[in-house]
Amino acid sequence: MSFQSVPFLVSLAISVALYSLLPQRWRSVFLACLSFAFYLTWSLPYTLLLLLVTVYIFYLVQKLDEAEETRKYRILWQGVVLLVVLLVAGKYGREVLMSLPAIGLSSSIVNLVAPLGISYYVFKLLSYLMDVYAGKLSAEHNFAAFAAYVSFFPQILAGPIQRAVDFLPQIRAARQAQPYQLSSGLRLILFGLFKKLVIADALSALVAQIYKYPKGYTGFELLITSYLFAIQLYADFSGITDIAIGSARLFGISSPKNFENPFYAPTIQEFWRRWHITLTSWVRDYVFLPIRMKFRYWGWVGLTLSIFINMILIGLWHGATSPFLWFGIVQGAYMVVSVFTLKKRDAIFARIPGIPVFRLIWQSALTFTLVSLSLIFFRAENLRMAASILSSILSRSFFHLGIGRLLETINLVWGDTRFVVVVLALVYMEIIHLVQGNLKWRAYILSCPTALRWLVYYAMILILFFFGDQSAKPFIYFQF
Amino acid sequence: MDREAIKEKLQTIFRVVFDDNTIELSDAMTAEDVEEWDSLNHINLIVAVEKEFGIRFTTREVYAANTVGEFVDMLEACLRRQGKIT
Repeated sequence: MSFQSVPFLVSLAISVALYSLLPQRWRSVFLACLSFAFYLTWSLPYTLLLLLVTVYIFYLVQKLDEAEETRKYRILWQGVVLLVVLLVAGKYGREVLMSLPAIGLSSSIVNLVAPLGISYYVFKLLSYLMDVYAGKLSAEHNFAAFAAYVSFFPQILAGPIQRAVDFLPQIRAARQAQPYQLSSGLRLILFGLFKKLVIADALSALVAQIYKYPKGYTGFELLITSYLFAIQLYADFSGITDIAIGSARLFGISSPKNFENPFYAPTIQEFWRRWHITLTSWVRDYVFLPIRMKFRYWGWVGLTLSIFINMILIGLWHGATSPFLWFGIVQGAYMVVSVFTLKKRDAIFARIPGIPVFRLIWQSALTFTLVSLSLIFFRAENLRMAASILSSILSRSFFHLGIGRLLETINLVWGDTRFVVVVLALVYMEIIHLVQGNLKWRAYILSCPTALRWLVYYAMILILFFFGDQSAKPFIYFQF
Repeated sequence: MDREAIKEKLQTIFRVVFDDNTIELSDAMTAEDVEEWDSLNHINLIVAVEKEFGIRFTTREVYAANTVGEFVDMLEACLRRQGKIT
């Protein structure tokens, strides 16, 4: 059952109603069963896998919590190795088997799909295991609460990756959603669907058409396309995140945010603090920090190594293919250059009067461009295509600033009306994102007359129906 | 060396590492309260503290400290364990 489907929305409404009617002590059981039932609509064998892993870690971590200091480390590694092997086998096993001669061609291998959400629930389990080891929280003794945490259906498909220390107290309290949580949850779900169906899917169709024959476009047109893909990815991923956070809110559960206007970030470090926040902070806390600690007396070599390992892992988390590896390497290079030169650059520009505002705009534009160029690795079918597109952008043909071919393609894929709708939807999306990040503006909008606000919500729903993509394209981050 | 003395010495280190003489440490303070105290600078802070106090932290100790107060407690425990204070 996918998020952007009528059965999901209907089931969600019924579940929220049932949840509020249940006595408080039954709510975590209900949520756990609901989440497993949701997962079951995808696959029975993988639901059993999810259950098995949940049970195993539940008991292992209790054993770790009660063990003597000397044994804790061994139990920790037992859990970590199992989870990492599971993640690697689940995510990359098919590719490895496919690359083996004879075995690779077997139809049973070709038809194998990775367990849904494995990147997300394994990361949740790993963080829980390591947090208990570090003493940040005690082992959970309520299986229903723990199972609800691991399998929580709004988050299992594409995050956000919530930490146990944040989620478990909420599920134990199992408070019914307050009226303001119900209304803001519903608004967020609507906004998420709007971003996905009106913006992301429209951009996806356009970008797909251009990527069918990228050689037919100039370097400048391909640069614009790379910006469009970055925006598509943002609308798609932040859309599903909004649906996830909104759905959780209907059960009175608050989730961490995953985005904070990332394309306005002035540096690449700041970009990663604002994009896919729960993944970046996870890798920072459980990979970067330990590696950095190990290499802390290695000077600039240690820092460079830690940054590259961190970014390559983020790249490979998306997929074990060379484009994703190169995405990680490129991001690592960006980060290293930025980290080592930022202080000097700040010092130089601080001496020039009147520069700060222009510098902020320039820095944000440059960061957005660098990120968009690296995302070509995400979109291109293979390394050769990515390299060809990049070399076209970075060649002399870039200075042919005509966008005739691009406009023809826009006309072909969208037509005039849809073009206007997408542009207005994009402006609307950014206004809402800026409002969400500012308490004063949010309070102002919420104090506007109810009739006016509902006019906007209904307009969104109508635009969704008339201009939303009905072909049920899957969310991009489902595949990770 | 008592807890207050440790905290005072730590404050000096903070001011040097983050290049800000106005930093005043409080137990409830976290990385969000100090500009430039991010994951990249955090390890610079750890190295400076280790050099100044002549100790070595484990990753677990560093990870477990969420606030300045917890950091000071952890530092005090570490100093005691390594025999630097009684």
